[in-house]
Amino acid sequence: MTQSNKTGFKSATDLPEDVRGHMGELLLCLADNKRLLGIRYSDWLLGAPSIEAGIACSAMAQDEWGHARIVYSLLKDFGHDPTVLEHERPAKSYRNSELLDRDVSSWEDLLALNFLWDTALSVQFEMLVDSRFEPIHYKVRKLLDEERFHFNHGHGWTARLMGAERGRAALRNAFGSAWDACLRWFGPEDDALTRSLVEHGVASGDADAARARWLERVGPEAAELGLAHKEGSSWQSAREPDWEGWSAERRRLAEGGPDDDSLARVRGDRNRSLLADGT
Amino acid sequence: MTGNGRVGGLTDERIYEVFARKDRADRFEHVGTVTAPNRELARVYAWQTYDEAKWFEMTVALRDAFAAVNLEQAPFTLGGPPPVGEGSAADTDTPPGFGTPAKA
Repeated sequence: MTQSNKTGFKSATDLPEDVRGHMGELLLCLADNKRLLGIRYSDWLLGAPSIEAGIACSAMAQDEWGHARIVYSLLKDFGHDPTVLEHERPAKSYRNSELLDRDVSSWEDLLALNFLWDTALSVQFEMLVDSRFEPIHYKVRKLLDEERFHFNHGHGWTARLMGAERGRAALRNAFGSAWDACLRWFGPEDDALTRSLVEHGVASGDADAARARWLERVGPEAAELGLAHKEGSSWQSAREPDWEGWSAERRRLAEGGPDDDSLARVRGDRNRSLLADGT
Repeated sequence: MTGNGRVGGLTDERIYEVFARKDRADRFEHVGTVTAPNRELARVYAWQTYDEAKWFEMTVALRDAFAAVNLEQAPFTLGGPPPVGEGSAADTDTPPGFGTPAKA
């Protein structure tokens, strides 16, 4: 039964309790990933292969932090204290992908984050564009508008490196390592969280629908690296997601979290210690 | 960097000219250049580099796509070759004349 023609939810408190819980979980995962991804982009302001690419990384970092800020602030209405969320959590409480736990040491690994992971996050946001949870509408549209350029950046660079055997080999490695985490991000086939959001018209597609959309987006390039293939009109991953060790709550591997350096940066520890009143 | 829009070192990089306008009623103005290996990245670089205004429209074009009309010098160049007659590289190029196709 479709619920899309029903009236919208004007605020988080209008949502049925279990749906509010699920939406809060998903938003926290999205916010943490955006925040950490911004840090990874920012590491390439210097050291990118060209000045323009460095500027692009700087712009994408700013975008990601902006997106994280927006989503963290939404979480106030889901019973979270944004100060605690942003500054006071231990590593194990973060919901960011294992791909973002530590800094990436090569440009092709950064491209895996840019092309594969950033796109996976955008696809999840796309599922909320027509959400019955109305407070998110404008925010998601603006965010996805900015993300078009992130995708073009990842796609443009991927195309460029594909043009030479050395670049192709580097991408095969980097994309191959990031692939499973991206497949798993959307959740297992019977994922209760996204199912519940779809049933109430809060999201427009469940885990499988989102994964299929992501595969469609990255499929043509992934196919050239042996990671995907087309069957009829749909793109399929060359391998099944491996759910061993996956945490439904954190939507990532249960083991791990941001490393010490990343955690200090993501929470702003060093700079906050400068504040005299400790707030 | 040479006048033909290619960039030294990275052989697949090309210079793109960036134009933008703030309002539908405005004319395009030349806002700068970016170097990029393909059009997709040129678009991204232009948008993220020249973000000083909230542009209504922005567009990029390969420098190679422009044909000089009266001065033997690529249009829009910052730091391009000096004008003809001052010992510029243009003096040694064959100027496109009537019936002569411009050099690629």
